[in-house]
Amino acid sequence: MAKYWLIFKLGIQRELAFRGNFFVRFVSLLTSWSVLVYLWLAIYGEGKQLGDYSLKEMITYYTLITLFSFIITQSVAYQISDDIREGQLVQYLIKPLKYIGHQFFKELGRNTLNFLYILPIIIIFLVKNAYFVFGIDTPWKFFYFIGFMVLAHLLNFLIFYFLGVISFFSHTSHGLIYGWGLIEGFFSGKLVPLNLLPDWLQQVGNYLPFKFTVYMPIMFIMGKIDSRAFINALPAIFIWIIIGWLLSRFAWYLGSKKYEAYGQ
Amino acid sequence: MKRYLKLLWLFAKRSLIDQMAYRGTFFLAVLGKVSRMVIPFIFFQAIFLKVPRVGGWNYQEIAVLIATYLTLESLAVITFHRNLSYYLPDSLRNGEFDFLLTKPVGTLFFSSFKAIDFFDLTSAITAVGAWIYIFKILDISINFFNFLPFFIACFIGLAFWYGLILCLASTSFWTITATGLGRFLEGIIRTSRYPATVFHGHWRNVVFYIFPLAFMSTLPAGLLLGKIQPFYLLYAFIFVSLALYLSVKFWKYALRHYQSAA
Repeated sequence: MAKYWLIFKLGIQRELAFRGNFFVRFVSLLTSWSVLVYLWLAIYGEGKQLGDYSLKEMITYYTLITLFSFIITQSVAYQISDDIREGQLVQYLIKPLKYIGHQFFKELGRNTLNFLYILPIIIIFLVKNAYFVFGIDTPWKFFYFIGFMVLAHLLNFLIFYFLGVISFFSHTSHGLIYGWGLIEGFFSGKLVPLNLLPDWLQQVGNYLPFKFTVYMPIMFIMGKIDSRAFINALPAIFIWIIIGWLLSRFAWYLGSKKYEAYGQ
Repeated sequence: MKRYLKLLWLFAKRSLIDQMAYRGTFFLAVLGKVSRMVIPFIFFQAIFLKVPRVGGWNYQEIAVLIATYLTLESLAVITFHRNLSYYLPDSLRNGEFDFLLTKPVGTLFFSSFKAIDFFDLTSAITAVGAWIYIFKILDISINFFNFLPFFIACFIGLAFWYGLILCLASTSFWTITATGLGRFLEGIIRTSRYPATVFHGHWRNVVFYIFPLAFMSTLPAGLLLGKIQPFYLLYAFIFVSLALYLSVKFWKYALRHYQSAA
């Protein structure tokens, strides 16, 4: 385990070395957030309400989506795709560690640092509760929330790890990752709360794992679903984690058999 | 000119052959790209189930706005966007740019159009599908007098996009990687999927006149629908001509400072 702890720390150090990227991304996401807030102000300015969301709840939702973008990411898929395409993967194959473990702990290190970066914003979020909705009001709910986040992170990692491993069978899977990343974004609720979608799309979303990575944790933070909903979702989350794990292992097994490490 | 067109064709053909070598991932990626085009329509459909107008635009008008944005996005992605925001910084980092300088072709042209991504033509086809859908649901007549300003405005929007990306790409001569900045700009450009009229006060002046994201899709769609005064097109033309001139100047300045560091 010590070697993975080291990789975790290296993940943090690497992110610290390129901290400029974080701030560039932060400004970009802040711009998108501002535009969306203006959009919702214009929509609510028409005097209507969307579903059971008040304007305050809608702004909270998109603020949380923006914050989640720093800790629930797709970057692992691009990293794996590049490792395979450029022949860098071979250096991991000869090391006494699991590639999946290496990627997981590196990603965890990166996301931990990103979480620390956004922590001041989270504190403002909690203090300025006149502008935001916050539904975690008991220690138990906080405990459930931590559990939710751990599982969401793991599930998200496996989804994008699998997409990255597909690069064994392609010249580059960047297009694939980007395209499916958008689908994931849509069905995870990053674009619009899932319960505002037409019924048939909500039905499609129910057969996919994406809502557990962003939408449900955010609903939990906002207090729009309770602890019972989290407990009820646990079997489905675990099944998707197992499916993600098996698919990743299978793709890795097939891919590593045909891998020639020639790079570009 | 003929030589450059032939080069463009060769770049496109090579890129398509490269992408189609792996058919499984090619078709999955196509599915992803098509979904990318459909998602904004679903997003607004979900909203218009509850409200009649957003920023003064109804659903049909918003559909024109989205289709305009998607058309421009497809054209940019097929041609210069990835070349300048991703491949150029890469070639500077790994030393390939040195070889590019020795080729008997304009450096800016080659850097901007080296990889013509025919793969993204699938997105463009979806954009055409979006326009067919719009012409079916839209109850305004398209004629020469609203189509010509629309066409010119699209060209201006694309030129503005090119100028922005070129400026950003030029910074990669000094930085280790400009990819982060590429993503930054993508995030900002993507906000032009929404009508710029949702902004009020000073922010409206910013998006219309100072950092005119409105050029990307609000201007062309607004002209087509008669929601924007033609005078604004003149302002856009002057602004973008100047911006493009300065971008090319900046590119040349950056190129002169290239030290072949790799």
